[in-house]
Amino acid sequence: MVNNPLSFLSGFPLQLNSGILFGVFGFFIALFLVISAVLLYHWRTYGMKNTTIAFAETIYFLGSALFLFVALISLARL
Amino acid sequence: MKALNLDPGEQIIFEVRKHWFVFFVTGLAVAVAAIIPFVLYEVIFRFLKSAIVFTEEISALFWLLYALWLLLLWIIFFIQWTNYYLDVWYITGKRIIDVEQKGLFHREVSSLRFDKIQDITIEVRGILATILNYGDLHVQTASEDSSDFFMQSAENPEGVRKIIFAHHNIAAERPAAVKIVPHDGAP
Repeated sequence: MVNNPLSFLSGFPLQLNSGILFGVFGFFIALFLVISAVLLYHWRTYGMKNTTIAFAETIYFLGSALFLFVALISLARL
Repeated sequence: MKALNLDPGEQIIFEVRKHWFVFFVTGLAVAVAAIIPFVLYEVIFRFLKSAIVFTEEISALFWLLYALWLLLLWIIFFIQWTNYYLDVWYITGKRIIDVEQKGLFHREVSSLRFDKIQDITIEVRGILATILNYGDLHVQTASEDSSDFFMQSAENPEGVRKIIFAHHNIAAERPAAVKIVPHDGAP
């Protein structure tokens, strides 16, 4: 049997379970929504209808959607 | 346009921003931070795979945490980009509007009419600045009430100086309006 150097972790009171991970995921969703609202406000109010800003908005939401999708798929596998 | 309170008929002629290289350094730091967890996972997998059983759950947990880490970095990147991009001088037909985006909730807007400009100084320091064409722009005002305008690492400072001076000369040569007030009893 191989010695597991991380075996001491099983003695910790906090055990990772799907409930905690869903909570972490939910926290990040909330953080994303709040900051996205703030960024959108700035881009719409001060962006002067600039095409660069419009492009940045698209890239931002596409990238965010990708990361959230990967996180959700990984969470579903746990 | 509402955010700038432009006069009726006033148009933006030119926008002055910091050179893209200023933001590139920030982007690079974010990119390095994005790679680190992946490298750590590979190192742990390579050196500890005899000691740790890498189950499908561990792999899924890694991808969950890594995706959330990337999302956080992505948000930080766009906050920094917003602060960079909204930090701008708008040159209109009448004045320069200096918008300083110091943070997401900290924004300063000042304006300076062309006829109030006393001098414009540019400073290009170093090999990189010379090759990439960026430098510091300093617009000195003739008014005691308003402060000078300064932008560090502005893109194409000489080009901006020419545009501002051209409009300054037009404003200086424009005849000033004279109001004639009749004096009672004058012949």
